[in-house]
Amino acid sequence: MGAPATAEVRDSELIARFQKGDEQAAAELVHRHTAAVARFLVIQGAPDDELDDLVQEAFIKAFRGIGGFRGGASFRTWLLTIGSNLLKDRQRQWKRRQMVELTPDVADPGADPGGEAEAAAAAERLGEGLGRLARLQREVFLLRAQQGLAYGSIASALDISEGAARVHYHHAVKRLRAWLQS
Amino acid sequence: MAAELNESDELREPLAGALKALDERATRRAAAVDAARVAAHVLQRLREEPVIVMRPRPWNLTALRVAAAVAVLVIGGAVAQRLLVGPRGSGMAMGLPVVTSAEGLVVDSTDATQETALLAAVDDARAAAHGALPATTVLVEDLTEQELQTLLSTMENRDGAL
Repeated sequence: MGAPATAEVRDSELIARFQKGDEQAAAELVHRHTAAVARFLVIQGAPDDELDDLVQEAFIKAFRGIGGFRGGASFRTWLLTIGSNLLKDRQRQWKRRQMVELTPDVADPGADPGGEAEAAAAAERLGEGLGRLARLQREVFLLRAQQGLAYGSIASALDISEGAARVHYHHAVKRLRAWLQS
Repeated sequence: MAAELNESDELREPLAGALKALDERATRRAAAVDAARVAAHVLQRLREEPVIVMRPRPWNLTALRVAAAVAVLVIGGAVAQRLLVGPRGSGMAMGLPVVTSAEGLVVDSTDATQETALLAAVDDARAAAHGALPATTVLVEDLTEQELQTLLSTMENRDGAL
């Protein structure tokens, strides 16, 4: 027996099926990419109580705008940038309403308190540093370093040149390193 | 972390460790999002508000075509009017009511200044009617019988007065 049939179906095929009205294709796309979208949003500062809604909204926006998906980037990369834009808009609204609350990190119950403390502090510090980066720098850095995407794919998703993506990445690394060492 | 970074992109400490810790934390929190629940909500929303596949909007093209047609008509009309009617200045001159004859005017009561003005007006009117430049002088041959009589009568009166 080979791999499950769904694993063999490429995103592009699911997208084509969805465009013909196949709901199950949409559901499959959601199952495949929910974790990555949620992780990408959390690392950019999405609060836990908004996370479900943000992820749903990112998929809704993606499906509604599927006609505009050019295929230059992967569906996941495109989805991540949609989620990122959505988060940015929400953060702006939250700021206007002065409802911003930093979500306290939930400690891993199985973690060693002594060993984890340093890592948690570093993560906290990096989270702050990411928040201080210019938006394109942050997105390029996370798409490259967290998601492991190629520059070509990042450039296509963000509508910038590959060279610009490299420059943003290196600037981000330089600034984050300086921030962590300051 | 799914990063497949080449040597030049490889992150060094302390950034690499901090990113690893941050990513682990994000992964734990992201795990709270249930993909099945998200899929159910997304499908429900899609059923309630069906997806409209984005295509170039036809009304946009129609509006552009109408605007282009109106622009062509306006510009073409202006050019045609200019070619057929001529420049605005000459058109106005042709349209103005111009007295081309002093016939019927009673000039018995006019004085010398008024007569000079009358002759000048006759001169200008003729020039305009014939499309020629206004003459600086009016010759006796140019006057009508009535004008000539008026002129002579005025001269006689003036001589008499002197």
